[in-house]
Amino acid sequence: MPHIAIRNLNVQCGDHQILKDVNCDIPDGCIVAIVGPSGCGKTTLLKSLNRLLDLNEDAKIQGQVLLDGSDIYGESSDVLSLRKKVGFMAQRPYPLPMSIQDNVSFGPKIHGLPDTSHGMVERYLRLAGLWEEVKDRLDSPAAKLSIGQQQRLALARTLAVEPEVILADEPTSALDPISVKIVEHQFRLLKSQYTIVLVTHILRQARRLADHVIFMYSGELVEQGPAESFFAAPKDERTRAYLSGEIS
Amino acid sequence: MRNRKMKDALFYWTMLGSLAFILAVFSVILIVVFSKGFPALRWSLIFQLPKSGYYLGQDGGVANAILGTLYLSSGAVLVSIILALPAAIALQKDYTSPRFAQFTRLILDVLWGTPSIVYGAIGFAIMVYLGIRASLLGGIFALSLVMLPLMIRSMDEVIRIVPEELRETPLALGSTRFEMVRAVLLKQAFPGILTAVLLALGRGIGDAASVLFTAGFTDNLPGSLMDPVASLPLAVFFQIGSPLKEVQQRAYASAMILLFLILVINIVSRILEKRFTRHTIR
Repeated sequence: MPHIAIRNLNVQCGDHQILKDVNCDIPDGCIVAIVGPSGCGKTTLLKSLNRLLDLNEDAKIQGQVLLDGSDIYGESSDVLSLRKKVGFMAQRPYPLPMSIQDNVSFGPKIHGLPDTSHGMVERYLRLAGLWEEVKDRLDSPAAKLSIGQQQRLALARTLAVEPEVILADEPTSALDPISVKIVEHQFRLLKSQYTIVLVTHILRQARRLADHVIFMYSGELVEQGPAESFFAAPKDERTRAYLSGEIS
Repeated sequence: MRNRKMKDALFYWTMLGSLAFILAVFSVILIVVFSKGFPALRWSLIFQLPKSGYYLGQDGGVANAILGTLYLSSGAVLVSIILALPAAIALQKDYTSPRFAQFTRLILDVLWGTPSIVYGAIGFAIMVYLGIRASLLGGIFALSLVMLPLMIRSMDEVIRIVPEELRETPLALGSTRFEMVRAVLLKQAFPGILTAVLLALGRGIGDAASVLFTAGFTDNLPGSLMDPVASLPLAVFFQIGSPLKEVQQRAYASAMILLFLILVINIVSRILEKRFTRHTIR
């Protein structure tokens, strides 16, 4: 059974149907890229996987998202432990208004994890590729970091709650090319330990990173499959049009 | 092109003109207060209680009113913060439906504009019902009613502008709403919350009408919450109505002391603000 399975997922905001009957299995231990033109429902699909959509009071959600076989929208589901298991990185990194160190230890502290030590902070900052740049100023405000560093801090913060899945919503779109390279490198290193679901509108990034690709168009899941076959031999006409740049 | 530049210049001069007009009017008010009050300003005015016949020009000071105002306003600010902060957070979309929040905001805006004599009268009616006489407690109660709508609405506005993504960050990590409020909203909105407190304090500290019936007035210092208490706005009011010139001058000097108190409170708050906003996301 896959870690995450989406069954007949429909999301509606007011009169607008954002996701239409989406079905797919997210494979474990690899990078899954969700691609598609702007407004096709990529971010909505991603946010539905850890119930961040709940924060939008207009959103009506139908269908199932199964995590280890149990429906995260079911009555017995606990949203706090779900979000601990399924971490989320936003498009623009927002550090919490506290020090670099406290940003990393915030999650472990609220979840009552046994290790909130300096060593734990170092471990996750290293995993996110930020340790060397901040090791001498862990007490300084996180807001003073560059935006590229802030995004890696967001990654360290997400990893520190020991998730199994990392959802990343266009995590490099606000970054400079060097920071993009560093973040992509960290994702490649992390994919053996985590399932990473990445929304991107940059096809080149999906080609560079993804092991599995999901293509969305107008709220529908049009096509999905291993990255190699997806890019080499797309089956659907719309996928071909998207890959050739006819629709964007 | 020329037309656009002229519009730009017109806008610029209109802005500057408004600002200059406002500054001029308020400067005149300050100059009048200072020029009339300064001759009567002496240490005894600040540190002494009014002696018998003070309002007829005899010796003494307004220490009763200065301390009374500090008791009243600090008590009312404390009560208001305790009630306003949770109320302002409750108005956020994390806790309340936007429709209900909008309706409550409208009500609070109306209450904000309600004359303070109304709060004084209502406070007095409630006190009569409860058998409480004009006292420090009654004054704090009435002054809190004056401060609350403004404080809640100002806090609400500054908490509301904390970016959505910043609220989402701790929630995405699995925090409860309370943990999100504590870690993000309160820290991020702290400078604005402080401004809200100062705005409400500014409205309350100079208010005479709400404490007229509820706090009473006395030449002594209150020994308990149930004793009547003097206040600077009422001291100004009682002195300025006097036909005696020296008593009128003391009214202006008392107003100067009130302005000075507000200035000190503002400066201290701004210093505190700098200390607590090191981590604010800009």
